[in-house]
Amino acid sequence: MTVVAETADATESDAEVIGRAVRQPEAFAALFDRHYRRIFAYAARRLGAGIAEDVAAETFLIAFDRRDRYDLGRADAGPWLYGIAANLIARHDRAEARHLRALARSGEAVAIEFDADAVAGRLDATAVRGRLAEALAALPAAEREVLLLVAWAGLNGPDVAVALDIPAGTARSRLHRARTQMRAALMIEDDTETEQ
Amino acid sequence: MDDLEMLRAFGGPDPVPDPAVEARARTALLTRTMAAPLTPATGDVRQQPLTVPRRRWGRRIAVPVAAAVVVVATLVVIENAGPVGGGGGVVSVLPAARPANAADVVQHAANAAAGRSFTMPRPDQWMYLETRTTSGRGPGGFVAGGPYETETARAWFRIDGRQIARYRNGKLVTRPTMSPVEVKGDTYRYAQIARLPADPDAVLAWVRKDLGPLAAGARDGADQLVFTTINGILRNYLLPPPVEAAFFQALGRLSRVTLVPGAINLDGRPAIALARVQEGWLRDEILLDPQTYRLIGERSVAVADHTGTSDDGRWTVRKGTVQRYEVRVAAAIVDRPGQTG
Repeated sequence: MTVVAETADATESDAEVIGRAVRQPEAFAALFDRHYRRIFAYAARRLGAGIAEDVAAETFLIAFDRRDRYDLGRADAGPWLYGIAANLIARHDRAEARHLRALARSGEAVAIEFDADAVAGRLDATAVRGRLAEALAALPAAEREVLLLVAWAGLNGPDVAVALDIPAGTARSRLHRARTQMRAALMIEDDTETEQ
Repeated sequence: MDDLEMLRAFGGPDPVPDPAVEARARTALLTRTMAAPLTPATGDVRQQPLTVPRRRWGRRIAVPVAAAVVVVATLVVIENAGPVGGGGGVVSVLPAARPANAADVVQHAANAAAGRSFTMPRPDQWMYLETRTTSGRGPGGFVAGGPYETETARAWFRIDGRQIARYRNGKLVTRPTMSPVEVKGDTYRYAQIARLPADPDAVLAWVRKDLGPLAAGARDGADQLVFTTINGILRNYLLPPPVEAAFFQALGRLSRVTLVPGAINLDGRPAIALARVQEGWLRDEILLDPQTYRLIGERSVAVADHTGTSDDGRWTVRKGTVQRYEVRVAAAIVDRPGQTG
């Protein structure tokens, strides 16, 4: 007699896969196949590919171990997985600081156009990258997490709240504060600096 | 391009894992699934050996467990908080005109604001705000018992929205803001807020419209996001008193907004609070001076024990733990950046 694990088809929700994995553990592999690359990409942006390798793998082991606690009312397991990854990422603050400095030095050009009435000029790409990295590093960890789950993982506010298990209002005010900081960091210095 | 789009560009295209890396991670998961009992363990997963053949794991997983046990709460609320109307036994700091409930506070705050003199600032003037924020560190930003970090922010915002001034390396630097048309989302121009009709229904309708479908997605109902948004507006702007009064009255029209009448002590200053509990455990408080009803800050406090379930269960927030507080140190309309009042 041959036992073949049912494979998930595209119509099966994440919640259904997880529910099935409670009795049929190997079904959980379907969740890996659906989400691993997203989780890896997020971790790699935060920490670089080397540590992301560990974080992404560990995310799915932890998720598997806690599969019986998953809220089966949530069809998409993405926010849950990002939340697990975020908590693993938070243990690597030094690596994150290093990685941000590396991101500041390399990568794609980012150009900003400024309000023409307010200033003549634009920041060059290197300056923008440096400012973004500096501002991200300066954010409180909790605000950085919310901001990057939105900007880099593509989650919306309510999904971030689910991912981090924080109230939606808290997620929103953190996002607001973080974005205010980022905007402030992206301003060009005026010609006239006021000395005090 | 707004700030989020710039961050996306900064982060670059999606990093793709090496196929060997992905295969190793998948094998580790499959190994785990094959070793699993049919009914999954609900205990502490960290007690099980992890089987991915990579370095460093054991140590990284062990550390947070120890840390969670060792740290001790340093900030615990000592207060006498009650629901609306639950004044029995609560010692108020108010010598007179003691508010009995949130509606009273809202009315007092509105009256006090209406009696304040205020000149609508010119576009070339500046709004100065100085705040001191104490918050938790760590992944969810919640404080299971410390550590906390405190930060003071001082900034001058030009009323026309075109410039911001801050100290940078000891020097006051004035910079243009990003083009307002490029900044989408939840930042408002001063005039946009200050010229709202001084009418609670009108400001409430404006906030609800601005939030749009976003509010509907909240687990805790639309009113929580409305509360958070109004809290943010009160925090970030020094508004004409009639408009500020309208926002206070709008708070009074939201569901489950309560008075925290006890003597909350914020940096040595007594305060009363208009509050709303998020998701049954986190109370967001807008703090007012009990004499003048001016805004003096805000605070978030756990009002019930809460255990996070979305991560690997490392943190439990104990009832009474302050999660964050922010003191408005100064707020003034001034003529030039650098002036503080």
